[in-house]
Amino acid sequence: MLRGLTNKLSKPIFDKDTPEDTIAAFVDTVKQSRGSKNLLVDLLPEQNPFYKGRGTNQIIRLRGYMMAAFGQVGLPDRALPYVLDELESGNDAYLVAATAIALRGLKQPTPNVIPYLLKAVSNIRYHDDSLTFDCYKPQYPLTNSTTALTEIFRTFGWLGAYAKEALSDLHRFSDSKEYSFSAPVKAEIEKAITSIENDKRSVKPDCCSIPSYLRISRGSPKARLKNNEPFEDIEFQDDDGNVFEYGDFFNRKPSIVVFFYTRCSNPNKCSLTITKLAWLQKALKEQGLENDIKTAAITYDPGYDLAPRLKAYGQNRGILFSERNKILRTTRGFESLRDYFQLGVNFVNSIVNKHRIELYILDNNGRIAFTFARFQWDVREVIDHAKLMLRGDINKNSHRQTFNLCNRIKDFGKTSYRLTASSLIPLIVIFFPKCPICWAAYLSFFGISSLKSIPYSPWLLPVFILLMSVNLFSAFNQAKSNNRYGPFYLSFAGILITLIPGIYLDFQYASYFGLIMLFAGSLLGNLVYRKNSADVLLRTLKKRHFSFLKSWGF
Amino acid sequence: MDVSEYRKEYLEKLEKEAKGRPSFRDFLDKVRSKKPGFESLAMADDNGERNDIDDAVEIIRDSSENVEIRIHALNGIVYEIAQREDLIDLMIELLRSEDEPEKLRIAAIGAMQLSEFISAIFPGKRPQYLEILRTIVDKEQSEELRQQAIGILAKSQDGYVQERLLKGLRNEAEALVPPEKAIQLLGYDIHSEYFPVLQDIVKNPPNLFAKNEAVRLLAADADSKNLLAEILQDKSEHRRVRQTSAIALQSLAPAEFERQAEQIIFDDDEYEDIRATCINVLEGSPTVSRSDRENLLTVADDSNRRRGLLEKVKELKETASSKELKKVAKRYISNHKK
Repeated sequence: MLRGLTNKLSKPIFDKDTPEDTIAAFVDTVKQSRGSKNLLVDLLPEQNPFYKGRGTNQIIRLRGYMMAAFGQVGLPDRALPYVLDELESGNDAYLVAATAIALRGLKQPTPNVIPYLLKAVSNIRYHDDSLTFDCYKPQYPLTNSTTALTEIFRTFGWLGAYAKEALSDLHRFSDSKEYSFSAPVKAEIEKAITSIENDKRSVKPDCCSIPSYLRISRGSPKARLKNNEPFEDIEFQDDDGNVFEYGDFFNRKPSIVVFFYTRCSNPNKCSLTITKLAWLQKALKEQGLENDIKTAAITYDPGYDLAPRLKAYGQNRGILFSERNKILRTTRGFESLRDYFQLGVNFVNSIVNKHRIELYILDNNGRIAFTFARFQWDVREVIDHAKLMLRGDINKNSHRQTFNLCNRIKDFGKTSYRLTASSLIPLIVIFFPKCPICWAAYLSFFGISSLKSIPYSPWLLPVFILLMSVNLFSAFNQAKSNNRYGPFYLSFAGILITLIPGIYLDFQYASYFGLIMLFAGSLLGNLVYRKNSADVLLRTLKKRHFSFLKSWGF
Repeated sequence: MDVSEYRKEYLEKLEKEAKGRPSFRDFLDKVRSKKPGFESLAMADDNGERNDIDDAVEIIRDSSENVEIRIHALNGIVYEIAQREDLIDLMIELLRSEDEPEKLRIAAIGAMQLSEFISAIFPGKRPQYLEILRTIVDKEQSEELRQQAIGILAKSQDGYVQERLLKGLRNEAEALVPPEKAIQLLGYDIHSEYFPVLQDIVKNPPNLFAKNEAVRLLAADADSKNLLAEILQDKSEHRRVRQTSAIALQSLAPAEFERQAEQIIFDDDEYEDIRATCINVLEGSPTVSRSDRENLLTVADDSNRRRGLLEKVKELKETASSKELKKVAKRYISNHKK
């Protein structure tokens, strides 16, 4: 690894034979060189080749050590899903502690993480452990030990005012005998409560959930629609022992597919995934969709998860088995399947050593339309997305491109409305002629004053008011979705000043001032509220205003 | 009998038995007086009054007291320990202190194990407890205490002890326990990276027990199917190991096991105990579906195959010299006659 003039490290090349101490040493180097924290993020995806062949505990040590480093060097936005994933579903104290520490590397505290921290308390309270991140593979007894619960509550303390909504939970943890936390952990809870109560920062309420684009993505992770069929070599066996090809099952109707394996030791992952799949099947039936949408669970472990095991596992969790609802193992082509879905999984010999939660919605040609990865998915949300596939499915020969085209037009319409209503209208309003003289000025500017042009007319004023109302309505919607009303208030004040002192009382400068306020409010409303993260700000702007262009190939 | 009637009778029985037991105070008095027979004194089950418990704690803390008496006092209040944070702290203190007698510290581990099972307070103490167990693995002089600590940590799939055990399998100089024990302990966690090590041990075993344990654990590794089949077919292999591989193969790959087992049953040069094992395991295993068979028999072939197997087992029942083989053959016939 070479250090350049910028003191940045170059990307490391690790493989399955790289000793774990070497990887840990690299993490130590990154801690010294803060500019290289993104190199750690690149090591987090579960399918990274260097995780192959390592035991689960070794992977826990490595990933925990990496994640804890973010607490020191800063937590890049790209790493946030990995951190929240472990808090939400992890059951190992070392990793949970590491991710709690990692959150303290955020540039700005946010209340968004509170549900994940609370879930982590619930997950880890019976599995806590004594640990340290001072060095990799410490000797015992530890000289500077901590625990997962300690770190979680420390993070609450760090959040300060941003954790106000967690105060009632923290008091409950502290006061109730139901939670038999140790004295040091209770002391940490008290410190957190004090820190939150004494923090006088004003916090504007943020959206209460992690943005959906972090949880759900559209389409396949890999560029798709090649000419050759990627599924030809994938063959399945179902829970009854029947054998068929990928295209024989995943066709004609959209499908919801989850991945799991029977030997998963984390009850928050595979066992819960299959249980929720059973709930989802029930919900489909209640909505009369059981004949329109298929469900399938595919095992990561086809060598061990034979048909009788799959059947028993599903039955024990309430799965409905039918022609349209199956649990599958590959008899051929697992690597192709893994490649197509870009599965977040790795193996030690034949056994899974690490995997993420993943659910896919396939179109009626078996191609990925939506990916729900890493976070616990919501049954209703999945069904809503699956229903989109039904609406896009106009006839039996519907093509994914047709469906995408319809959605692109819709997206374009929505985005155009947003652009127009929120940004262009204020511009129009600012430059709109509000009196005959202004009108003449415009006509002369555009060189058409020689024409018997349209005279200034009083009906233009209601049009002006209508345009401002549209703008105000758009600003209100934006404020509601961002939970941030400042720009809306600014726009509203601008309109009032324009109308009352500006037009009614005829104070000209009031009009100009009011319109400037209106325009400023509209501009600010278009900026997604994410403090201290200029790059995310830019990305979000791009996403909102240019993503529809990208999907059309620009 | 009516359920409520049965419940009433049972409660009366328990009360009667309780009356016959010594009270906790009697127990303590006998312990303190060191009267003969105190070693076999049954534990009182009323847990005593608060000051009785405190007396017992005093005995436990008293390092000048006879260690057997201290152990008895500890065992006498083991349920109370699980209810009180200060008593769990006392157990942790005993474990931490290398000056305390080994037997007392082993008794403390026993109390902590019970607390892990029944105590609502234990989760808060778990981090300290695990740290002490790891320290014992590293630094403890007492072999028995180390073994206990290693066993407890291995059962909780502790990464630290797994790494130490694996190192010991790769390098004898670093072994904490004999190889067969190390393999057994590693088997508590199938997600550890020991399968390549086990495959090496099967090929180059340090001893027979280690090989047998390795074969047993390879039942969890889909990549070891062929290795297990080879062991099962190898007549030069130790019969105990072959029997273990039969069970492992049946668990891992039932269709492959069925094929191998049938070959063995039909092989008149095969050992009778191996044939008995194969019939026994076939008997206990779920029927493999035809689609799972590698040779994909037709329905007719499958039926003929089963009939042929039944006839062979009948023949073995008559001609075998081994009682075990006759017994399993009889059971197989009885269940397949229908």
